[in-house]
Amino acid sequence: MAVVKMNRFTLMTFHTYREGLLKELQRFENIQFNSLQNSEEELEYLNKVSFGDKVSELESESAKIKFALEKIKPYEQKPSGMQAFTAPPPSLSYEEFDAYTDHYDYKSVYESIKDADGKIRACKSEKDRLKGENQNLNNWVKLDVSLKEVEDLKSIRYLIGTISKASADSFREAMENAYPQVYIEYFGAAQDEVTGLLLAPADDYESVSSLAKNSGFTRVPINLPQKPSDIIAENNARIAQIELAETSLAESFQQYGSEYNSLMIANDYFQAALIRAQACENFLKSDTVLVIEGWFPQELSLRLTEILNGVCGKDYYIEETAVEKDSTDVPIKLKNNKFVAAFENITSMYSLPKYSELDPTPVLTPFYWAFFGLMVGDTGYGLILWLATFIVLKFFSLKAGTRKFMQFFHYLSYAVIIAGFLYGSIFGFTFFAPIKTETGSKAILDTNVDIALMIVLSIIVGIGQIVFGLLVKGYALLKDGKVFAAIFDSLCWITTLFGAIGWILGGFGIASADLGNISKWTFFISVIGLALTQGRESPSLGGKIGNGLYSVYGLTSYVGDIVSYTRLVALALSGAYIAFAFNKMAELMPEGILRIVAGGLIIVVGQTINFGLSLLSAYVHDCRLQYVEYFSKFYDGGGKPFNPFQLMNKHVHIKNSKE
Amino acid sequence: MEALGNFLSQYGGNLFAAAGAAIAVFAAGIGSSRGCGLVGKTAAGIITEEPEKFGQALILQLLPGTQGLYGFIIGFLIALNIGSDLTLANGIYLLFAGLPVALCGYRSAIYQGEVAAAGLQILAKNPGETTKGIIFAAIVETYAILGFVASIIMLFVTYPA
Repeated sequence: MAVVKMNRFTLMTFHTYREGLLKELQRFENIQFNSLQNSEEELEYLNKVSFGDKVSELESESAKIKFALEKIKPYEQKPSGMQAFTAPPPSLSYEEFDAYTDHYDYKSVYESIKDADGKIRACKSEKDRLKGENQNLNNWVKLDVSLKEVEDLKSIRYLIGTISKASADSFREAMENAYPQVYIEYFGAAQDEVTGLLLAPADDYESVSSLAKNSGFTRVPINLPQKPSDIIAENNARIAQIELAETSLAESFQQYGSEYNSLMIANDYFQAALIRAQACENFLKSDTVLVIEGWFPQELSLRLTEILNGVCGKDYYIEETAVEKDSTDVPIKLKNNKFVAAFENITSMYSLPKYSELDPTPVLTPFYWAFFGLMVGDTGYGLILWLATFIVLKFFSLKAGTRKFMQFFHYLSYAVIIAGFLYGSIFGFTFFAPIKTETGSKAILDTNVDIALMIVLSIIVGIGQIVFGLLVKGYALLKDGKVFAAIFDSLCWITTLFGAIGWILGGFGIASADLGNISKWTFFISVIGLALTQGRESPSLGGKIGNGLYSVYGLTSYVGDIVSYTRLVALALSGAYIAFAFNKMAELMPEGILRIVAGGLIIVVGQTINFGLSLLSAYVHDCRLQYVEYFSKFYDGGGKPFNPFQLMNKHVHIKNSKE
Repeated sequence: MEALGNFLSQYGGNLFAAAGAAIAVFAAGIGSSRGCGLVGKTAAGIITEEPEKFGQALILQLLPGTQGLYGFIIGFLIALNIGSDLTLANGIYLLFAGLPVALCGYRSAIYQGEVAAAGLQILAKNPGETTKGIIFAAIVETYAILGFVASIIMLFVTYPA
């Protein structure tokens, strides 16, 4: 129910124990190292520990495995469909895990995969080259001689090139008029150009080619040792060969699919080793001694001593001190019972408490839970949420973070179901209407009739939460022994608030005139009290008075805070009316089969949309109410999360010695 | 003039109610489509390089879509009142009842789209924190919800039947 008490420790031991100690501490998962290398103290006989080489070596091995994994991922033999989610991850004992790469020859697997991959790529690029060549030759297919044969001709010379389609015919005419012995043949067209071959007697060649150039016939420097159609046929044959090779290579690649699991385990092994090597960069050393500093939860002190005895025997020295209350660099870990712990994610999304502050999660939980229910407010949605989270929690194998999240929504589903009874609503239909009225019966809080009542109730709930927040602040101050601060900062605000409310109610005649009067005087006295005391931190008298008056002005923000709670009603209404409208739409369908089929479809789709919408809105707006209206009364935050040195396995589950 | 007066008193109720329903639906719908379109354009850019982020990008694109739904629901609920006995006064009332969700929905959807499109940058650079982008966009929706509830209240609680 609190911020976990931490001890700070300084440990000294010999270098020889380093690797063994790191492995044990990594399994312990409850130590966070303090980076001694960043500290400003000048320690003359201690140097920084650096494992740059080892880190690069581990990183390169890790990169090899990642490469191999990427290549064989498409062939991974994983279970399909639902099994993929419900199958538990592979589990090993720590000893098996630590020795994994001794037994598993990941290097040769990597080499063969790299090899096969290289071959496949070579095939592909060759194939692409040949296809490209064929593409280019497509324009020349109709040429049924090879240019080599044409070159061998003694009295004829050739010109091969392209000309725009528009000028093709006029060019031919002009050429035939000028040089009747010239032979022009066009074949192939690409976009708006035609390719052509021009044969001219050797003597006229110069003049012919200059005329051609002037008319727009551009030479194409192409080399065709054989007929184009022959070259294309050869290329195609070669492509077919390559494709056969590719298929057989792909098949052989498939066999590596079975290595996927083992490679993932090897990957985890290297990650663990990398984390250990990188953790060393927090330490300092002398020639023989290693100095480590960090934090761990106080309650695990005995366990840590056991570990140190186990690894180092008697060859270590440890100094443990309880962390001082006002420490700012201590990492924060929260500990709560199972129900409250599910709501820790809401607190940590805002900010973790400082070491000296109270953990706000226990006072957050009941409000968050209740408000969420009120904002969604439909038993049908609550039942679906309950069922979905129940199934997932029971049958699926989940990571720790996802499991906590599902547990969170599972608890919230109870609130939604109960609130559904309050509004009497199930999937938009009124099903629980116990209160008799003149026209029939209505739900306890009917969304048709009781809207004004609901708004008033939400404001009362809001005032309740705000006052509770002020009381929490008072309690925290009293715990610290600051009695006067508790009176000024907590009690005064509460009396101001109640004074104002009583005065207003008296003015409207809802409360008796006497109560109104008493409240009026309570309010004035409290406001003066605030003005005198809220500025007491300031050094100068003017500052004290100024700050005091300024915080009285802060009363106006209370109005905004209180009104903000009407969003509880707004969200409940929006959810209820969207469900109502979809049901009405289904009712409008004509009687008979159409109403059942189409109407049913409308209801299912509409309610699903509304379900998602309600959950998202309730989650977001509930968070907003807690952070802005509630936390601002008593909570600052600013703590850093506890990020222990641990295994970060993505795939393998390490069995405890008890399993 | 008298003919116009007669026309309005006979048919005006339904006409104005129809106008209210139409405005509620199309204004909110235009807003939502612009908002979703903004996000979709940016999302397509991310998917060119990282197609595995499609699911989360889709959730961000869906967020500005709710205003169109609200407008549709209000339009539907207004249209239910169209009948043979709708007075001119009530018809004009229904026209105004459609306006909160229409105008709030229109503008808030576009702004929500801009926030969601910015949230896509979180998805691109730091995918683990995308939920925060979703929360940022959902906050803008507060005002669309208030507009929706205001229209509901005008239709059901204070309707001068």
